[in-house]
Amino acid sequence: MNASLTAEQLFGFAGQAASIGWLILVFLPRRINFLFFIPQYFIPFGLSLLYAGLALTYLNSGEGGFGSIGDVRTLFQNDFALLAGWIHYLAFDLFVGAWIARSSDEIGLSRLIQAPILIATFMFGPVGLVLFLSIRAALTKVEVAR
Amino acid sequence: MSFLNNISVSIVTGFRAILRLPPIEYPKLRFGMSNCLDNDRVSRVWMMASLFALAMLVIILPAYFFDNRVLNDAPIWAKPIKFSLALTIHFVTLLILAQQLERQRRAGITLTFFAYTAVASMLCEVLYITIQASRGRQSHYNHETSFEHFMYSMMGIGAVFLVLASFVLGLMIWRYGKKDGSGLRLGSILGLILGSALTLHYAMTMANISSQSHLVGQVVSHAKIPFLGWSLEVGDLRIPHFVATHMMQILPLAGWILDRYKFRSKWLVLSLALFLTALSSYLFTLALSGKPILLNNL
Repeated sequence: MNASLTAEQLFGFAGQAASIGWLILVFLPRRINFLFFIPQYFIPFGLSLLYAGLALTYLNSGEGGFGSIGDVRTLFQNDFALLAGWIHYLAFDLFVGAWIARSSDEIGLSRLIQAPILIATFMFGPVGLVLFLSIRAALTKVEVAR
Repeated sequence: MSFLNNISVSIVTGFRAILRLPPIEYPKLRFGMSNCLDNDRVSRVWMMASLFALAMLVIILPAYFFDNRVLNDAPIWAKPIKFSLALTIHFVTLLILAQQLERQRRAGITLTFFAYTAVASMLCEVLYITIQASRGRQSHYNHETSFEHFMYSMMGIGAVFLVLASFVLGLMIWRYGKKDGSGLRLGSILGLILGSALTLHYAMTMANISSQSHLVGQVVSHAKIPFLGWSLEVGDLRIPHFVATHMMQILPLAGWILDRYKFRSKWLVLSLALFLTALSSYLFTLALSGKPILLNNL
């Protein structure tokens, strides 16, 4: 990592990038493929690159591990390791959010009802996923006209 | 109004024809329910709204089993559970009863407006109630912060839109539905119109009551009906609200069953409507005078 960037600055950039992705998913039209490409691939890809850099540098170099809650707590004492964990959330939540948005369009879910599901995915990732999967579970599988 | 309906329908189909898009076919509901449900935008948004409310229940139930917090003598997640269940039933009712209208009328501009405002209100209500529960705070009757005070008044507006949708649907079935003299038709009209009007009246009284609680009287023993949580000790305004609101389900269902068994459904539905109206207003005056429904502890 560039030593001139602090963990706090990177946190800010990553958060802004993810927020832009979520704003596009919730508010902007889906017809324009290029626009949808940004939250679905571009931002998650960028965040994942940032994660890779941080994770490979900091997650195995210090103390702690993934064996117990205590180990995990020790691991995330380091700000950059913590940041890597946070960016993992941001990248995966946004990617899942884009998948939910695309799949919601396929089942004809109104954008009005999509909005709270996407916001739930943004705030509490798995909660949004459960909301969407529960709704889709009540529908049959039909070949969808695209 | 039908002129506007025609325009709005033809604009949508026209656009798809110009763009050479195939007609949209979406996956349908499981359990063979789709056979009696249309796939227009109003049916669709009401179906999805009820599924959303039901999905909220799926995420609230685990919280209910984890969370030991108590608010107003009740488990903190009891209220979100009741609301998501009730709103699921409300939108399923609207969805099924709206099938009595012709598609052109159902997907027309009037019902589309009331359908979408009701769904938007439902989303705001359910989400706010859930968020407040997870924060351990009251959603209704909460004037503690200016934001909560504001949200409480917004919930009032949302509730009005929720019953406006059912009220307008009742009027539209009356005016434009197939006049076949069936019990289902009469039950739908009476249930939706009376149920909505009475619900609005009781709920407004409940919201503006000076004690700012759904209970009237001094609570000492906290005796309650299991699950429903209604007071067995003091007046509880939620009881008439419950009876009035569920007229929207009881009356059409009664009419439909009576039709099937070839009863004189008209008179029976009418007398059931009168009985339920009288029952709810009796329960309403009882609650306002601070008396419980069962006088077991006097």
